[in-house]
Amino acid sequence: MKRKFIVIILCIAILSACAGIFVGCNSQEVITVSGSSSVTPLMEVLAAEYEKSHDVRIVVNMSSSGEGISDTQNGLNDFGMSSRALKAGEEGLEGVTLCMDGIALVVGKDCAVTDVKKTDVKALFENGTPIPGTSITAGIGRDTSSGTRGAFDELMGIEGSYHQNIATLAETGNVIEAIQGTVNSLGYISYGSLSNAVKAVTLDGIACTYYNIINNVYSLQRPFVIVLKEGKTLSDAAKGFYDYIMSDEAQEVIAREGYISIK
Amino acid sequence: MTATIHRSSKEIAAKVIFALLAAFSVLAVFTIIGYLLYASVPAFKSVGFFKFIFGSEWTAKNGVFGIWRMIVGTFVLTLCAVALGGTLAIFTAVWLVFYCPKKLKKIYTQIVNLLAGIPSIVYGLFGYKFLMPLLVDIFHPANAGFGLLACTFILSVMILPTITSVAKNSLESVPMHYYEGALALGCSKNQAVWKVLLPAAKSGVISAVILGIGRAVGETMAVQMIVGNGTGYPSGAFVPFTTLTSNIVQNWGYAAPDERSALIADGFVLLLFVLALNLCLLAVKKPREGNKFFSRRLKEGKANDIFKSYRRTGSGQDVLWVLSWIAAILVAFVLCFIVVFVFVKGIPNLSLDFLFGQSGNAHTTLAPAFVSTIMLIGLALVIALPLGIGAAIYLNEYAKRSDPFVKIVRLFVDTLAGIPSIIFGMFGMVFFVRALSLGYSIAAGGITLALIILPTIIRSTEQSLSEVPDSMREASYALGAGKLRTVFKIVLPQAISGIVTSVILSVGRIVNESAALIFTVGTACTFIPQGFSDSAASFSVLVWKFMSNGLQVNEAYATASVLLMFVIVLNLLVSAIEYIGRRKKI
Repeated sequence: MKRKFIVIILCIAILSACAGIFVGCNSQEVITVSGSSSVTPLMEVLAAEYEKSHDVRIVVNMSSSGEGISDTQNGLNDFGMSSRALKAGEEGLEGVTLCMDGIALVVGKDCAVTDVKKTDVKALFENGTPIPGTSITAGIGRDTSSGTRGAFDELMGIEGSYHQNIATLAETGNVIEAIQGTVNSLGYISYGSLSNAVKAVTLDGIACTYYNIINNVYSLQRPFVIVLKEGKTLSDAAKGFYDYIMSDEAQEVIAREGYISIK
Repeated sequence: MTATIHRSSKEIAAKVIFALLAAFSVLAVFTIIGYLLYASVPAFKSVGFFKFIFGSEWTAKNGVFGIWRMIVGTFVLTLCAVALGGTLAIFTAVWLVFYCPKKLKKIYTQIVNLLAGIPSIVYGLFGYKFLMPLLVDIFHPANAGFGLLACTFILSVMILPTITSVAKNSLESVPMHYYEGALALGCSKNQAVWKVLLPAAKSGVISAVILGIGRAVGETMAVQMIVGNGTGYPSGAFVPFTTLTSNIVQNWGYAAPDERSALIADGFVLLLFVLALNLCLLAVKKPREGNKFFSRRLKEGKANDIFKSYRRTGSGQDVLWVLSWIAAILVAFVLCFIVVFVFVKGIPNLSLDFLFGQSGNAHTTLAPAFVSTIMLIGLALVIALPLGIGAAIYLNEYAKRSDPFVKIVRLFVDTLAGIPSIIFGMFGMVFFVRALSLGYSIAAGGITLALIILPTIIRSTEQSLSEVPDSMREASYALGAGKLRTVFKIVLPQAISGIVTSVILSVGRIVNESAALIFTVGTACTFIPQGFSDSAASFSVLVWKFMSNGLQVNEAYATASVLLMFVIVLNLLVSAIEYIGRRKKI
């Protein structure tokens, strides 16, 4: 009986210690941001900057633009991230543009292609036609809830679904990974996610660069949008972070990261 | 066991409570089926049931949802994977039981278990980064290697351990005198194995294959990466197509309620397939043949008997013998290759800082994943252990064997075990995250995981309870102890090693899980979670996340190698406990 008693006391002690730890740590305010995988890397950098001077925790939940928007509608986050402008059907929401981003067309590093024509890219995705005179025979697209895809389709004038030979992948990273080792595939990713792993090609002779995007010469560009729920007031902590990302200070960080500041 | 001394109110209350715990899995299955059906009705209504099943266009914009090409995709992929993986698995099982050198047997069983323990997401990573480029180099297809061929290879390796271990068990329970009789009639060992013993284990092998089909149909994360999600039918080795599961993962993000309902309906159809497979399983299951006491099973016989062979003649079966060696070596090779590949790519990227360092938005480390994985494990076990052990106690100690209630509970436990994790994820998402408004949280994930591990705990505990000799119970009653006291003081302590094993298996399952967690816990991975209402990412989800943002492949490998180390340690623990348990009995 005595032993049992000690065991029970011990259990209670451990449990209360755990509870204590949780309660003790819980003093920080938590801000939840969710949505587009294209915006996520940028948001994480902004969050890291903000946390340096403020005692908050910013949780960035990566999913997709569609999910970020629906999370906002359902009140599952403080605000959402979308890598495309809001659509007509998405009601009760307010979209605020954070910055602009280009959509880079990418091929594998060993691929000889350096330039593609808009019509050829359209034909590749719509009809599966290989790009004439090149080694490109396949396109790699994104899933339908991707903001990058939405913007790409709109800018390219692709209306229906892709040709059946086009693979569609769930995330930006998967596209980079898949393109990396090939010479026969063309994909599209956020300009800000461009790294040495893949090679960007020019579209109708115009390169996807900072200046071409900012001067509106390069046509494949879209806004990064912060999604707010209409009529819902942000918590003080979230308001602080929101004000920060819209500030000039944050816009400098955005420009440094390779995105196109709107200010 | 029916002898009851007191029928005090306490005893009766205990019995009722245990019965209720046992009934929980029935309730869980009904809730899952019912709620998913309820949530998919709007889609069936707006599209029309037949149009939904037989339509082949899925365009959310126009509200057109048809899953025929996904059904075909799933069907073709499963067929190919089971044809390849099933054949290999059966050859491997035969080799393991009859031809494996005695010293190798334990190690090889470990290999198969390890193969079963590798997380789906790691298979996906391996397929994506190694297999697809390899296939591109060999076949020079017109795309990056997406499609049926790569998927078939990965999926067949994934279902292989399931089929092998079940087939092995059924081969080992073939009565010994079948073998002896075959030898006495002048068969060589190879003839006896392939013409007598394998056919004798037919029903077990078929159920093994059905279990494999179930696994293949429901596999999500690995398939989702490699299948390519094209809009066509799998008309060639390198044509991207879509399966029922990959369709869900791909499109779930689109929030429009009508498509979400259609995706749930997609999941519901998948669930129906799995349920149908379960019924098939029920149909082929045969009770143990022969007399329980007087016929020895192969596994009970001396190992030397199995190697006895009096004739060596050239026959067709000798070819099969060679093939089984090839299959076994291939399987071992594949496993070692995957493990070494991940370690070689991952371990150089591991550092103390990456493992335990301070994590933040600027620099993600694995420290939060340690905490969130432990929290998930803790919560899931706290919920599932009482439920599972209670149910097992009822099934083994209280219920009569012939009780129809017991049969129903067993059927539902099996059903629960067969439900793919993507379905659990979807159910967790619509039920715990949305309907009970828990949000993306460890709480929602932990409860979902509890449902996933419940069948493992029930089965494993029940198994070890049934191995406790009746004489122990009788002695306890004779000393005047009541039933409840007997169960808790005598039976449970005896069965502790089985319970511990079930806990470790459950931990393995939780560590492996990714599809269900992405849907219920979210992917936030930069901070140590502060409580059960926080979103978090376990190791598997972290691998997915690192792969997904495109800039952290090295981190993905490093995390995957940590994950593999866990799996290896857990496997060794299971063997150690089994070893200790066996020594205690002797």
